[in-house]
Amino acid sequence: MLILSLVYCVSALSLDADFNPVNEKFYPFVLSVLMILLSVGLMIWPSAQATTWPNWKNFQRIAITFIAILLYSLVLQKVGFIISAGLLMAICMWVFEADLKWIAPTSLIIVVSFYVVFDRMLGLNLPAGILGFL
Amino acid sequence: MFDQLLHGFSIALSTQNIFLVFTGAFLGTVIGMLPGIGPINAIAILFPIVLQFELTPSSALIFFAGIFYGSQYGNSISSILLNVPGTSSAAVTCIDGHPLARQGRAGPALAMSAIASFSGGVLSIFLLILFAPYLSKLAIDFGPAEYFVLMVCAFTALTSFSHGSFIKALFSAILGLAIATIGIDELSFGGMRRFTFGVEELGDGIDFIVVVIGVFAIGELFLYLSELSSDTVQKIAPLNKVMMSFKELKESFAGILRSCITGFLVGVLPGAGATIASFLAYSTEKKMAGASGKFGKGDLRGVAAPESANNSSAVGSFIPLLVLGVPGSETTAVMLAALITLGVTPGPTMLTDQPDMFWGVAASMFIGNLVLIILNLPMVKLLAKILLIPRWVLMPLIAILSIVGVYVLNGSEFDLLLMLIFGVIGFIMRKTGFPLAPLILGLVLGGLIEVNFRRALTYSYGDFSTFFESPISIGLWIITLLSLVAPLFFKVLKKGRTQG
Repeated sequence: MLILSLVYCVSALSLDADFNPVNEKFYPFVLSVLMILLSVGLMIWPSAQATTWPNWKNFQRIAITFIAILLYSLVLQKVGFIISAGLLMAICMWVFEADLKWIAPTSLIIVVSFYVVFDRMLGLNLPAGILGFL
Repeated sequence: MFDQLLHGFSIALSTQNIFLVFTGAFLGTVIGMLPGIGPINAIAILFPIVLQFELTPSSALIFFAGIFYGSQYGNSISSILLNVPGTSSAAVTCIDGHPLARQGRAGPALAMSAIASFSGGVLSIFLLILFAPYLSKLAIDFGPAEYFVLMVCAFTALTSFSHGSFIKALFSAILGLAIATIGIDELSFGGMRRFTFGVEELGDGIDFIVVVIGVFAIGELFLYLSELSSDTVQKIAPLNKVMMSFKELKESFAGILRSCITGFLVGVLPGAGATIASFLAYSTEKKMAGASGKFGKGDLRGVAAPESANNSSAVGSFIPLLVLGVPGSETTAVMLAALITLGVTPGPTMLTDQPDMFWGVAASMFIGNLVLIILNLPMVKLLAKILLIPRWVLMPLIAILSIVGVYVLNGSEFDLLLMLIFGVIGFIMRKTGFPLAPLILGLVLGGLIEVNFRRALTYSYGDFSTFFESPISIGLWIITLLSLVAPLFFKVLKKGRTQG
C-alpha cells in the first residue's frame, strides 16, 4: 500500500514538473497539490484493508488476456475485424476454460454475426482487412 | 403539472421511444441478471453505438434509463436462483431470496421481487415528478460560482458515502479530475495543449467512454480472471409455481412502501445509491419484524424490502442528474457525459431549458416499469434460462463488445491501447480498495468544474470571495463541510462504542 501511494505521489510530482509551459496552470496545480497531500495522508494513515493478489495461474491468465487485447489493437487495421476478433475471442474462451471443441465454432459464429450486425446492418465501419473482398 | 406529464407521454409514446424503452428495459433485465455486467458497463459499451443513430438527447436518456432501472429488476433473479447478486445492489436480496429458493419457493420469491420492484419503481416516479419541478425553482439563481460549489459538494458527499478509506475515495476523485485536464484547453487563448507528453492523439483529450469501458468492463474481466477457480460450479435452483398467497403479499406491502421512500431519499443523495438503499431498507424491515419474522432464513418480506428500495433509488438518482445537472453515481455520471456529447448544456437550468427531456423520461419510466413487470412476472421462467449461458461464452463476449464499442467511437487503435491501460488501472484500483465511482464522476465533471471555476474567477477578477458570496454558495459549503466531517464523527462514535 505504501509503495503504491509513493508511486502515485511521484506521478503527481512529475505532473507538477510539466506545468511550466502551460498557460492556464493554476487549476491543475491545485489538483496536483491535493493529490500529493492525499498520497502523504495515505502513507501516514494506511488503510487496514488487506489486498489479495491473484495466484500465479490466474496472473498468467490475466497476462495472456492483456497481451491478446494488445496484439488485437495492433493488428486490427491490417488483418481486419473478423480474423483478429475471432482469434481474440478464441484466446479469451481458452483462458476461461471453455471446452476445446466449442471454441472454434462459437468464436466464429459470434464474430461473424457481430460483423454482419454492426458493419453491414448498422453501418458502423469495422475494418475488413485482408478479407476485404467479402 | 398534469399537462406537462401528458406532454411527456406524447414524447414517450412515439414509435421510436416505445421501442427504446422496451429494448432498454429488456437489456437492463438481462444485464442485471448476469453477474459481471452491470448497467454502467452496458451503457458505456452501448453508448458509441447509440451515438451512430443520432438520437435526440431525450431518446438516448429514455434508453439508458430503461437499462438502469431494468437492471434493478433483473439483479434479483440471480440473487434468488444462484445466490450470486447480479449487481451489488441485489446483494441483500440473496440473504432471504436464496434460502427461499432452497425451500422450493423460488417462484414466490421471484414474483415478490418483481412486484416489489414494480411498486417501488412506480411510486418513486410519482415522487420524482412531485419533487423535481419544486427543486428546479431553487436552481434558477445558480451562476458559475454556485455551480462550482455544488459540484464540490457532490464530490465530498460521494466520497464520504463510499465504502472504505475516505482518503482513497478523494484521491480517486481528484485523479479523475486530473485525467480530464489532459488535452487542449478550451478556455485559454489559442487552445493550450496540456499533459499530452508530446503524444499527438492525446490532443483531443481522453474520451470518457474509453476510460469507463477500460476501468469497468476490461477491469472487471481481469478481476474475474484473478478470482477464477475451476471448482465454481453454478447450480440453479428449480422453479415451480410462481404465485404466492394473497396474505403474504399483504404482509409485505407496508414494507414495500417504507422501503420505497427510504430508497428514493438515499437515491437522491449523491454517492449513496442503490446498494446502500437496499441495505438500509432490509435492516429496517428486519428490525420492525422483530422475532415474528424469519429474516435470514427465507422471509418474503426480506426480498420485498431491498427490491423496492433499489428500484426507487434508481429513480431517485435522476433528481440530481436532471434537476441540478450533477450526477450522484457512476451510472448517472455516464448518462450526463452522454448528454453532454449529444449537445445538452448540463447545469442547474437543465429542467427549465429542456422540459421535454425531463417529462419525456419521467413518462417513459411508467411505460418501462409496465414492460418490466410483464417481462419479470409471467415470463420469468424463460428469462431464467439466460443464466444457463456459460461464463466461457459470456466473458469473452463482453471483451469483444467492449473493443467494438471503443473502436467504433473514433475508429482509432490508440483508443484501444488506452482502454487496455485503463483496464489495468481499474483492476489495480479495485484490488487495492480505491473506489471507481469518484474517478468516473471526476472525469465527467472535470471539464465543467474547471470551466465554472475559472469563469467565476474571471467574472470576479480573480477574487476568491466570489465562491462565498451568495447564500446558496454558503449553504452548499456548509453541506460540504458537514459531509466531510460526518464520516470522521461516525468513526469516533464507533470507536467509542467498541472501547466503552
